[in-house]
Amino acid sequence: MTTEIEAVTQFAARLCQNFSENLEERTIDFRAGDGFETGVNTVLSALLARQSALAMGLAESPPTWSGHIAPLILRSMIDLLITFRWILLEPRQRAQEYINYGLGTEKLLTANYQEKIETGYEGADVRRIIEANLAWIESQQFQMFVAVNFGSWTGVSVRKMCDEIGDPDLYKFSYVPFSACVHNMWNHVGKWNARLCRNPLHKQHMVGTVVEVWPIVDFVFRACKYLELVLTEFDRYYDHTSTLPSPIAGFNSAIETLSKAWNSDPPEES
Amino acid sequence: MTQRGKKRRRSVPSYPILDGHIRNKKKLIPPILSFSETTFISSIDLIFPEIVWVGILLDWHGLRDGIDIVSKALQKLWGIREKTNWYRFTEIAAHAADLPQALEEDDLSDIEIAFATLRMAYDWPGLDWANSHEDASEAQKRINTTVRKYWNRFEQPYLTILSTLIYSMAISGRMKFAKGTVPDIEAIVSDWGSDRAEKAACSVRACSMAFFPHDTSENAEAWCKHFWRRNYQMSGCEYHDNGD
Repeated sequence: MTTEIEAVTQFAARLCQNFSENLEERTIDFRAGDGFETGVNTVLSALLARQSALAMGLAESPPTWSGHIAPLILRSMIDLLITFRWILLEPRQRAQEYINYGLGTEKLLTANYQEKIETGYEGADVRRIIEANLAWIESQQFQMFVAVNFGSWTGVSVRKMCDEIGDPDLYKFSYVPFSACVHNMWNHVGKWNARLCRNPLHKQHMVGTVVEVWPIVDFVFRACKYLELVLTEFDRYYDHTSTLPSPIAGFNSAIETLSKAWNSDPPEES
Repeated sequence: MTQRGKKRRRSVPSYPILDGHIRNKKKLIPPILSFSETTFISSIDLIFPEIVWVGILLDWHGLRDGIDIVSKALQKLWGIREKTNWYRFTEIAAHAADLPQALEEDDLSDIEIAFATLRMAYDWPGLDWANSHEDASEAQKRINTTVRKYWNRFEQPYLTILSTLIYSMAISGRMKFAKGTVPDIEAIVSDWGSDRAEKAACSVRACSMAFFPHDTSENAEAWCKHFWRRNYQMSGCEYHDNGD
Protein backbone atom coordinates (compact mmCIF):
# COMPACT_ATOMS: atom_id res chain seq x y z
CA MET A 1 0.00 0.00 0.00
CA THR A 2 1.40 3.39 -0.98
CA THR A 3 0.15 6.74 0.18
CA GLU A 4 -1.07 9.31 -2.32
CA ILE A 5 2.10 11.32 -1.80
CA GLU A 6 4.27 8.27 -2.42
CA ALA A 7 2.26 7.45 -5.55
CA VAL A 8 2.79 10.95 -6.96
CA THR A 9 6.47 10.89 -6.02
CA GLN A 10 6.91 7.60 -7.85
CA PHE A 11 4.99 8.97 -10.84
CA ALA A 12 7.35 11.95 -11.02
CA ALA A 13 10.42 9.74 -10.55
CA ARG A 14 9.36 7.47 -13.43
CA LEU A 15 8.92 10.45 -15.72
CA CYS A 16 12.22 12.03 -14.75
CA GLN A 17 13.99 8.75 -15.37
CA ASN A 18 12.42 8.58 -18.82
CA PHE A 19 13.45 12.19 -19.60
CA SER A 20 16.95 11.57 -18.31
CA GLU A 21 17.44 8.37 -20.32
CA ASN A 22 16.14 10.00 -23.50
CA LEU A 23 18.55 12.89 -23.04
CA GLU A 24 21.52 10.71 -22.20
CA GLU A 25 20.94 8.47 -25.19
CA ARG A 26 21.20 11.49 -27.49
CA THR A 27 24.06 13.33 -25.81
CA ILE A 28 26.38 10.51 -24.87
CA ASP A 29 28.11 10.54 -28.25
CA PHE A 30 29.71 13.53 -29.89
CA ARG A 31 28.00 14.16 -33.18
CA ALA A 32 30.70 15.14 -35.61
CA GLY A 33 28.58 16.13 -38.60
CA ASP A 34 30.79 17.28 -41.43
CA GLY A 35 33.43 18.47 -38.99
CA PHE A 36 32.34 22.10 -39.07
CA GLU A 37 29.12 21.65 -37.16
CA THR A 38 30.44 22.24 -33.67
CA GLY A 39 28.11 25.18 -33.09
CA VAL A 40 25.08 23.30 -34.35
CA ASN A 41 25.82 20.22 -32.27
CA THR A 42 26.48 22.30 -29.21
CA VAL A 43 23.30 24.33 -29.51
CA LEU A 44 20.96 21.46 -30.33
CA SER A 45 22.39 19.30 -27.60
CA ALA A 46 22.23 22.08 -25.00
CA LEU A 47 18.70 23.07 -26.00
CA LEU A 48 17.57 19.46 -25.71
CA ALA A 49 19.12 19.32 -22.24
CA ARG A 50 17.39 22.58 -21.31
CA GLN A 51 14.03 21.20 -22.46
CA SER A 52 14.65 18.07 -20.40
CA ALA A 53 15.56 20.15 -17.35
CA LEU A 54 12.34 22.16 -17.63
CA ALA A 55 10.25 19.01 -18.00
CA MET A 56 11.99 17.41 -15.02
CA GLY A 57 11.55 20.51 -12.91
CA LEU A 58 7.83 20.54 -13.60
CA ALA A 59 7.34 16.79 -13.21
CA GLU A 60 9.00 16.57 -9.83
CA SER A 61 7.20 19.57 -8.34
CA PRO A 62 3.48 18.72 -8.04
CA PRO A 63 2.64 22.07 -6.38
CA THR A 64 3.59 23.74 -9.68
CA TRP A 65 0.99 21.73 -11.63
CA SER A 66 -1.46 24.61 -11.61
CA GLY A 67 -2.35 27.56 -13.78
CA HIS A 68 -0.29 29.79 -11.51
CA ILE A 69 3.11 28.28 -12.24
CA ALA A 70 2.98 25.55 -14.91
CA PRO A 71 2.37 27.95 -17.84
CA LEU A 72 5.58 29.80 -16.94
CA ILE A 73 7.52 26.63 -17.54
CA LEU A 74 5.46 25.46 -20.49
CA ARG A 75 5.74 28.81 -22.30
CA SER A 76 9.49 28.54 -21.95
CA MET A 77 9.33 25.01 -23.37
CA ILE A 78 7.20 26.19 -26.30
CA ASP A 79 9.63 29.03 -26.89
CA LEU A 80 12.46 26.52 -26.98
CA LEU A 81 10.59 24.27 -29.39
CA ILE A 82 10.03 27.19 -31.76
CA THR A 83 13.68 28.23 -31.49
CA PHE A 84 14.84 24.66 -32.08
CA ARG A 85 12.73 24.20 -35.19
CA TRP A 86 13.64 27.64 -36.53
CA ILE A 87 17.36 27.00 -36.11
CA LEU A 88 16.98 23.75 -38.02
CA LEU A 89 15.81 25.68 -41.08
CA GLU A 90 19.38 27.02 -41.43
CA PRO A 91 21.27 25.19 -38.73
CA ARG A 92 24.82 26.37 -39.23
CA GLN A 93 24.10 30.07 -39.53
CA ARG A 94 21.32 30.26 -36.96
CA ALA A 95 23.02 28.16 -34.31
CA GLN A 96 25.98 30.53 -34.49
CA GLU A 97 23.72 33.58 -34.33
CA TYR A 98 22.03 32.09 -31.31
CA ILE A 99 25.39 31.70 -29.57
CA ASN A 100 26.60 35.13 -30.63
CA TYR A 101 23.47 36.79 -29.31
CA GLY A 102 23.88 35.11 -25.94
CA LEU A 103 27.54 36.14 -25.76
CA GLY A 104 26.63 39.71 -26.71
CA THR A 105 23.92 39.88 -24.08
CA GLU A 106 26.36 38.68 -21.44
CA LYS A 107 28.88 41.24 -22.65
CA LEU A 108 26.32 44.03 -22.28
CA LEU A 109 25.46 42.88 -18.78
CA THR A 110 29.16 42.87 -17.92
CA ALA A 111 29.53 46.38 -19.33
CA ASN A 112 26.63 47.53 -17.16
CA TYR A 113 28.34 46.07 -14.11
CA GLN A 114 31.58 47.83 -15.09
CA GLU A 115 29.74 51.12 -15.38
CA LYS A 116 28.35 50.57 -11.90
CA ILE A 117 31.88 50.11 -10.54
CA GLU A 118 33.17 53.15 -12.43
CA THR A 119 30.42 55.34 -11.02
CA GLY A 120 31.58 54.58 -7.50
CA TYR A 121 29.76 51.40 -6.53
CA GLU A 122 31.95 49.41 -4.19
CA GLY A 123 31.34 45.72 -4.22
CA ALA A 124 33.65 42.75 -4.34
CA ASP A 125 30.76 40.59 -5.53
CA VAL A 126 30.25 42.72 -8.60
CA ARG A 127 33.94 42.55 -9.48
CA ARG A 128 33.81 38.78 -9.19
CA ILE A 129 30.71 38.65 -11.41
CA ILE A 130 32.50 40.75 -14.02
CA GLU A 131 35.51 38.45 -13.98
CA ALA A 132 33.38 35.31 -14.17
CA ASN A 133 31.27 36.70 -17.01
CA LEU A 134 34.30 37.74 -19.04
CA ALA A 135 35.92 34.37 -18.44
CA TRP A 136 32.77 32.62 -19.66
CA ILE A 137 32.56 34.81 -22.78
CA GLU A 138 36.23 34.49 -23.59
CA SER A 139 36.20 30.74 -23.13
CA GLN A 140 34.24 30.85 -26.39
CA GLN A 141 35.33 34.04 -28.11
CA PHE A 142 37.48 37.05 -27.32
CA GLN A 143 35.09 39.66 -26.09
CA MET A 144 36.41 42.25 -28.55
CA PHE A 145 34.94 40.12 -31.34
CA VAL A 146 31.56 39.82 -29.66
CA ALA A 147 28.86 42.14 -30.99
CA VAL A 148 26.02 43.33 -28.80
CA ASN A 149 22.61 43.02 -30.43
CA PHE A 150 19.89 45.17 -28.85
CA GLY A 151 17.13 43.58 -30.91
CA SER A 152 15.93 40.00 -30.89
CA TRP A 153 18.47 37.42 -31.97
CA THR A 154 16.28 36.11 -34.75
CA GLY A 155 15.36 39.52 -36.12
CA VAL A 156 11.77 38.34 -36.62
CA SER A 157 8.75 38.03 -34.37
CA VAL A 158 7.82 34.73 -32.76
CA ARG A 159 4.68 34.71 -34.86
CA LYS A 160 6.77 34.98 -37.99
CA MET A 161 9.08 32.25 -36.74
CA CYS A 162 6.07 29.96 -36.32
CA ASP A 163 4.92 30.82 -39.82
CA GLU A 164 8.38 29.98 -41.14
CA ILE A 165 8.54 26.62 -39.37
CA GLY A 166 5.12 25.86 -40.83
CA ASP A 167 3.28 25.67 -37.52
CA PRO A 168 1.27 28.89 -37.03
CA ASP A 169 -1.06 27.08 -34.63
CA LEU A 170 1.84 26.60 -32.22
CA TYR A 171 1.93 30.38 -31.87
CA LYS A 172 -1.82 30.95 -31.76
CA PHE A 173 -2.90 28.17 -29.45
CA SER A 174 0.16 27.40 -27.32
CA TYR A 175 2.60 30.30 -27.21
CA VAL A 176 0.04 33.10 -26.89
CA PRO A 177 -2.20 31.56 -24.20
CA PHE A 178 0.74 30.70 -21.97
CA SER A 179 2.30 34.12 -22.60
CA ALA A 180 -0.63 35.66 -20.74
CA CYS A 181 0.67 33.96 -17.60
CA VAL A 182 4.30 34.91 -18.24
CA HIS A 183 3.47 38.59 -18.73
CA ASN A 184 0.83 38.73 -15.98
CA MET A 185 -1.82 39.84 -18.45
CA TRP A 186 -5.40 40.37 -17.38
CA ASN A 187 -6.61 37.33 -19.28
CA HIS A 188 -4.48 35.29 -16.91
CA VAL A 189 -4.64 37.35 -13.74
CA GLY A 190 -8.40 37.91 -14.09
CA LYS A 191 -8.96 34.15 -14.05
CA TRP A 192 -6.38 32.99 -11.53
CA ASN A 193 -5.95 35.95 -9.19
CA ALA A 194 -9.29 37.74 -9.06
CA ARG A 195 -12.47 36.81 -7.26
CA LEU A 196 -15.82 38.38 -8.10
CA CYS A 197 -17.70 39.87 -5.16
CA ARG A 198 -21.42 39.12 -5.51
CA ASN A 199 -22.58 41.96 -3.31
CA PRO A 200 -24.50 44.37 -5.59
CA LEU A 201 -23.64 47.22 -3.24
CA HIS A 202 -20.04 46.68 -4.26
CA LYS A 203 -20.78 47.08 -7.94
CA GLN A 204 -19.27 43.79 -9.09
CA HIS A 205 -15.71 44.54 -8.08
CA MET A 206 -13.08 41.86 -7.91
CA VAL A 207 -10.69 41.12 -5.12
CA GLY A 208 -7.23 39.67 -5.50
CA THR A 209 -6.89 36.07 -4.48
CA VAL A 210 -4.79 33.03 -5.14
CA VAL A 211 -7.25 30.57 -6.61
CA GLU A 212 -6.76 27.25 -4.91
CA VAL A 213 -6.64 24.33 -7.28
CA TRP A 214 -5.70 20.72 -7.13
CA PRO A 215 -2.59 19.84 -9.11
CA ILE A 216 -3.59 19.39 -12.75
CA VAL A 217 -1.68 16.47 -14.23
CA ASP A 218 -2.44 17.61 -17.76
CA PHE A 219 0.28 20.25 -17.35
CA VAL A 220 2.78 17.40 -16.91
CA PHE A 221 1.47 15.80 -20.06
CA ARG A 222 2.07 19.11 -21.88
CA ALA A 223 5.66 19.13 -20.65
CA CYS A 224 6.12 15.59 -21.97
CA LYS A 225 4.64 16.63 -25.29
CA TYR A 226 6.92 19.66 -25.74
CA LEU A 227 9.95 17.60 -24.77
CA GLU A 228 8.93 14.88 -27.20
CA LEU A 229 8.51 17.38 -30.03
CA VAL A 230 12.08 18.59 -29.50
CA LEU A 231 13.34 15.00 -29.32
CA THR A 232 11.56 14.29 -32.59
CA GLU A 233 13.24 17.25 -34.27
CA PHE A 234 16.58 16.22 -32.85
CA ASP A 235 16.18 12.64 -34.11
CA ARG A 236 15.04 13.83 -37.52
CA TYR A 237 18.05 16.10 -37.89
CA TYR A 238 20.56 13.48 -36.78
CA ASP A 239 18.67 10.56 -38.28
CA HIS A 240 18.63 8.95 -34.88
CA THR A 241 16.40 6.05 -33.93
CA SER A 242 15.70 5.57 -30.26
CA THR A 243 14.77 2.34 -28.57
CA LEU A 244 13.49 4.11 -25.49
CA PRO A 245 9.88 4.87 -24.74
CA SER A 246 9.12 8.47 -25.69
CA PRO A 247 8.15 10.96 -22.95
CA ILE A 248 4.47 10.67 -23.91
CA ALA A 249 4.66 6.86 -23.83
CA GLY A 250 6.43 7.17 -20.49
CA PHE A 251 3.68 9.48 -19.25
CA ASN A 252 0.93 7.11 -20.35
CA SER A 253 2.55 4.23 -18.54
CA ALA A 254 3.32 6.24 -15.40
CA ILE A 255 -0.15 7.77 -15.20
CA GLU A 256 -1.69 4.30 -15.38
CA THR A 257 0.42 3.18 -12.45
CA LEU A 258 -0.41 6.36 -10.57
CA SER A 259 -4.09 5.89 -11.23
CA LYS A 260 -4.04 2.34 -9.86
CA ALA A 261 -2.10 3.38 -6.77
CA TRP A 262 -4.35 6.40 -6.21
CA ASN A 263 -7.56 4.45 -6.49
CA SER A 264 -6.49 1.37 -4.56
CA ASP A 265 -8.40 0.76 -1.33
CA PRO A 266 -6.50 1.34 1.88
CA PRO A 267 -5.81 -1.88 3.84
CA GLU A 268 -8.40 -2.65 6.47
CA GLU A 269 -7.23 -2.04 9.99
CA SER A 270 -7.17 -5.19 12.10
CA MET B 1 7.15 55.76 -51.06
CA THR B 2 6.83 53.22 -53.82
CA GLN B 3 4.71 50.12 -53.37
CA ARG B 4 7.87 48.02 -53.29
CA GLY B 5 9.40 50.15 -50.53
CA LYS B 6 6.38 49.81 -48.27
CA LYS B 7 6.46 47.26 -45.51
CA ARG B 8 3.87 44.61 -46.22
CA ARG B 9 1.07 44.67 -43.71
CA ARG B 10 -0.89 41.67 -42.54
CA SER B 11 -4.44 41.70 -43.77
CA VAL B 12 -7.23 41.75 -41.21
CA PRO B 13 -8.19 38.13 -40.48
CA SER B 14 -11.65 37.31 -41.76
CA TYR B 15 -12.92 35.38 -38.75
CA PRO B 16 -16.60 36.07 -37.88
CA ILE B 17 -15.72 37.62 -34.52
CA LEU B 18 -13.49 40.18 -36.26
CA ASP B 19 -16.02 41.02 -38.95
CA GLY B 20 -15.91 44.67 -39.93
CA HIS B 21 -12.89 45.51 -37.80
CA ILE B 22 -10.59 48.19 -39.12
CA ARG B 23 -6.82 48.10 -38.68
CA ASN B 24 -5.27 51.14 -37.03
CA LYS B 25 -1.53 50.54 -36.76
CA LYS B 26 -1.30 47.52 -34.43
CA LYS B 27 -4.90 47.59 -33.27
CA LEU B 28 -8.03 46.05 -34.72
CA ILE B 29 -10.86 48.46 -34.00
CA PRO B 30 -14.42 47.07 -33.88
CA PRO B 31 -16.93 48.91 -36.08
CA ILE B 32 -18.77 50.55 -33.16
CA LEU B 33 -15.55 52.11 -31.86
CA SER B 34 -14.51 53.47 -35.21
CA PHE B 35 -16.88 56.43 -34.76
CA SER B 36 -14.77 59.14 -33.23
CA GLU B 37 -17.60 60.41 -31.03
CA THR B 38 -18.17 57.11 -29.24
CA THR B 39 -18.11 57.33 -25.46
CA PHE B 40 -19.24 54.80 -22.91
CA ILE B 41 -21.52 55.66 -20.05
CA SER B 42 -21.62 53.22 -17.18
CA SER B 43 -25.24 52.76 -16.12
CA ILE B 44 -24.26 51.38 -12.77
CA ASP B 45 -21.62 54.02 -12.04
CA LEU B 46 -23.37 57.14 -13.23
CA ILE B 47 -27.07 56.53 -13.69
CA PHE B 48 -28.19 54.13 -11.01
CA PRO B 49 -27.23 56.35 -8.01
CA GLU B 50 -29.26 59.17 -9.55
CA ILE B 51 -32.46 57.17 -9.92
CA VAL B 52 -32.29 54.84 -6.95
CA TRP B 53 -34.76 57.09 -5.12
CA VAL B 54 -37.46 55.99 -7.54
CA GLY B 55 -36.81 52.37 -6.61
CA ILE B 56 -37.27 53.15 -2.93
CA LEU B 57 -40.61 54.79 -3.64
CA LEU B 58 -41.82 51.97 -5.89
CA ASP B 59 -41.11 49.54 -3.07
CA TRP B 60 -42.59 51.75 -0.35
CA HIS B 61 -45.86 52.61 -2.11
CA GLY B 62 -46.22 49.60 -4.37
CA LEU B 63 -45.89 49.72 -8.13
CA ARG B 64 -49.15 51.38 -9.11
CA ASP B 65 -49.12 54.11 -6.45
CA GLY B 66 -45.35 54.49 -6.70
CA ILE B 67 -45.45 55.23 -10.43
CA ASP B 68 -48.31 57.64 -9.85
CA ILE B 69 -46.53 59.51 -7.03
CA VAL B 70 -43.21 59.81 -8.87
CA SER B 71 -44.74 60.90 -12.15
CA LYS B 72 -47.01 63.49 -10.54
CA ALA B 73 -44.18 64.92 -8.44
CA LEU B 74 -41.92 65.21 -11.48
CA GLN B 75 -44.70 66.75 -13.52
CA LYS B 76 -45.19 69.43 -10.86
CA LEU B 77 -41.48 70.07 -10.52
CA TRP B 78 -41.13 70.57 -14.27
CA GLY B 79 -44.06 72.93 -13.92
CA ILE B 80 -41.91 75.37 -11.93
CA ARG B 81 -38.65 74.85 -13.76
CA GLU B 82 -38.73 73.12 -17.08
CA LYS B 83 -35.00 72.94 -17.73
CA THR B 84 -34.03 71.15 -14.54
CA ASN B 85 -33.51 67.39 -14.76
CA TRP B 86 -35.63 66.66 -11.73
CA TYR B 87 -35.43 62.92 -12.12
CA ARG B 88 -31.83 63.12 -10.93
CA PHE B 89 -31.33 62.75 -7.21
CA THR B 90 -28.64 65.43 -7.26
CA GLU B 91 -30.97 67.98 -8.85
CA ILE B 92 -33.65 67.44 -6.22
CA ALA B 93 -31.03 67.72 -3.46
CA ALA B 94 -29.52 70.84 -5.02
CA HIS B 95 -32.88 72.60 -5.41
CA ALA B 96 -34.46 71.68 -2.11
CA ALA B 97 -35.56 75.26 -1.58
CA ASP B 98 -37.80 75.05 -4.65
CA LEU B 99 -39.61 71.93 -3.58
CA PRO B 100 -42.27 73.56 -1.36
CA GLN B 101 -43.11 75.90 -4.20
CA ALA B 102 -43.86 73.06 -6.58
CA LEU B 103 -45.10 70.31 -4.32
CA GLU B 104 -47.89 70.33 -1.79
CA GLU B 105 -47.34 68.98 1.67
CA ASP B 106 -48.86 65.63 0.77
CA ASP B 107 -46.65 65.32 -2.30
CA LEU B 108 -43.57 66.01 -0.23
CA SER B 109 -44.70 63.56 2.37
CA ASP B 110 -45.14 60.87 -0.34
CA ILE B 111 -41.58 61.17 -1.59
CA GLU B 112 -40.02 61.94 1.78
CA ILE B 113 -39.17 58.36 2.70
CA ALA B 114 -36.79 57.96 -0.23
CA PHE B 115 -34.86 61.12 0.49
CA ALA B 116 -34.84 60.56 4.23
CA THR B 117 -33.37 57.12 3.62
CA LEU B 118 -30.71 58.52 1.34
CA ARG B 119 -29.94 61.36 3.76
CA MET B 120 -29.44 59.00 6.67
CA ALA B 121 -27.51 56.38 4.76
CA TYR B 122 -25.27 58.75 2.84
CA ASP B 123 -25.29 61.99 4.81
CA TRP B 124 -25.81 63.99 1.62
CA PRO B 125 -26.59 67.73 1.89
CA GLY B 126 -29.83 69.37 0.73
CA LEU B 127 -32.13 66.78 2.25
CA ASP B 128 -32.97 68.31 5.62
CA TRP B 129 -36.61 68.55 4.61
CA ALA B 130 -36.84 64.76 4.42
CA ASN B 131 -37.49 63.04 7.73
CA SER B 132 -38.42 59.59 8.86
CA HIS B 133 -39.01 57.82 12.13
CA GLU B 134 -36.41 55.27 11.07
CA ASP B 135 -32.81 55.38 12.22
CA ALA B 136 -29.64 55.16 10.15
CA SER B 137 -29.31 51.40 10.43
CA GLU B 138 -32.84 50.91 9.09
CA ALA B 139 -32.07 53.31 6.28
CA GLN B 140 -29.00 51.27 5.40
CA LYS B 141 -31.09 48.10 5.40
CA ARG B 142 -33.54 49.72 3.01
CA ILE B 143 -30.68 50.80 0.74
CA ASN B 144 -29.27 47.31 0.86
CA THR B 145 -32.60 45.82 -0.20
CA THR B 146 -33.19 48.42 -2.90
CA VAL B 147 -29.75 48.15 -4.48
CA ARG B 148 -29.94 44.37 -4.55
CA LYS B 149 -33.33 44.51 -6.21
CA TYR B 150 -32.77 47.30 -8.72
CA TRP B 151 -29.09 47.35 -9.73
CA ASN B 152 -29.18 45.05 -12.76
CA ARG B 153 -30.03 47.06 -15.86
CA PHE B 154 -31.22 43.98 -17.72
CA GLU B 155 -33.73 42.95 -15.09
CA GLN B 156 -37.33 43.99 -14.62
CA PRO B 157 -36.92 46.16 -11.47
CA TYR B 158 -34.31 48.48 -13.01
CA LEU B 159 -36.35 48.75 -16.17
CA THR B 160 -39.41 49.59 -14.09
CA ILE B 161 -37.56 52.61 -12.67
CA LEU B 162 -36.57 53.71 -16.16
CA SER B 163 -40.10 53.13 -17.42
CA THR B 164 -41.46 55.28 -14.61
CA LEU B 165 -39.12 58.10 -15.57
CA ILE B 166 -39.88 57.84 -19.27
CA TYR B 167 -43.58 57.77 -18.52
CA SER B 168 -43.16 60.86 -16.33
CA MET B 169 -41.28 62.65 -19.09
CA ALA B 170 -43.89 61.69 -21.65
CA ILE B 171 -46.89 62.99 -19.64
CA SER B 172 -44.95 66.17 -18.82
CA GLY B 173 -44.15 66.79 -22.47
CA ARG B 174 -40.43 66.41 -21.81
CA MET B 175 -40.07 63.47 -24.16
CA LYS B 176 -41.87 63.06 -27.45
CA PHE B 177 -42.28 59.92 -29.52
CA ALA B 178 -42.94 59.51 -33.20
CA LYS B 179 -45.99 57.41 -34.01
CA GLY B 180 -45.37 53.76 -33.27
CA THR B 181 -42.19 54.31 -31.28
CA VAL B 182 -43.62 54.55 -27.76
CA PRO B 183 -42.01 51.81 -25.65
CA ASP B 184 -44.51 49.19 -24.52
CA ILE B 185 -43.92 49.94 -20.83
CA GLU B 186 -46.93 47.91 -19.82
CA ALA B 187 -45.19 44.75 -21.08
CA ILE B 188 -42.23 45.34 -18.77
CA VAL B 189 -44.51 45.47 -15.77
CA SER B 190 -47.11 42.86 -16.58
CA ASP B 191 -45.65 40.52 -19.18
CA TRP B 192 -41.98 40.20 -18.16
CA GLY B 193 -40.18 37.43 -20.02
CA SER B 194 -42.25 37.79 -23.17
CA ASP B 195 -40.91 38.95 -26.53
CA ARG B 196 -42.82 42.20 -26.29
CA ALA B 197 -41.32 42.88 -22.87
CA GLU B 198 -37.86 42.16 -24.26
CA LYS B 199 -38.47 44.61 -27.08
CA ALA B 200 -39.81 47.20 -24.66
CA ALA B 201 -36.78 46.73 -22.37
CA CYS B 202 -34.41 47.45 -25.28
CA SER B 203 -36.44 50.48 -26.19
CA VAL B 204 -36.49 51.83 -22.62
CA ARG B 205 -32.73 51.35 -22.19
CA ALA B 206 -32.13 53.09 -25.51
CA CYS B 207 -34.42 55.98 -24.48
CA SER B 208 -32.55 56.41 -21.21
CA MET B 209 -29.24 56.50 -23.07
CA ALA B 210 -30.63 59.27 -25.23
CA PHE B 211 -30.88 61.69 -22.30
CA PHE B 212 -28.77 60.48 -19.38
CA PRO B 213 -25.28 60.85 -20.81
CA HIS B 214 -25.87 64.49 -21.75
CA ASP B 215 -27.79 65.94 -18.84
CA THR B 216 -25.34 65.54 -16.01
CA SER B 217 -25.73 67.92 -13.10
CA GLU B 218 -22.96 69.70 -11.24
CA ASN B 219 -22.79 67.28 -8.35
CA ALA B 220 -23.70 64.16 -10.24
CA GLU B 221 -20.25 62.62 -10.34
CA ALA B 222 -19.47 63.53 -6.74
CA TRP B 223 -22.74 61.96 -5.61
CA CYS B 224 -22.22 58.81 -7.64
CA LYS B 225 -18.73 58.35 -6.25
CA HIS B 226 -19.95 59.01 -2.73
CA PHE B 227 -22.85 56.58 -3.18
CA TRP B 228 -20.65 53.70 -4.23
CA ARG B 229 -17.85 54.47 -1.81
CA ARG B 230 -20.33 54.42 1.07
CA ASN B 231 -21.86 51.18 -0.23
CA TYR B 232 -18.46 49.53 -0.03
CA GLN B 233 -18.23 50.62 3.57
CA MET B 234 -21.76 49.56 4.45
CA SER B 235 -21.36 45.86 3.84
CA GLY B 236 -18.74 43.19 3.35
CA CYS B 237 -17.81 41.25 0.25
CA GLU B 238 -19.86 38.20 -0.68
CA TYR B 239 -18.53 35.23 -2.57
CA HIS B 240 -20.03 32.06 -3.87
CA ASP B 241 -18.99 28.99 -1.95
CA ASN B 242 -17.10 27.62 -4.94
CA GLY B 243 -14.58 30.45 -4.63
CA ASP B 244 -15.84 32.53 -7.56
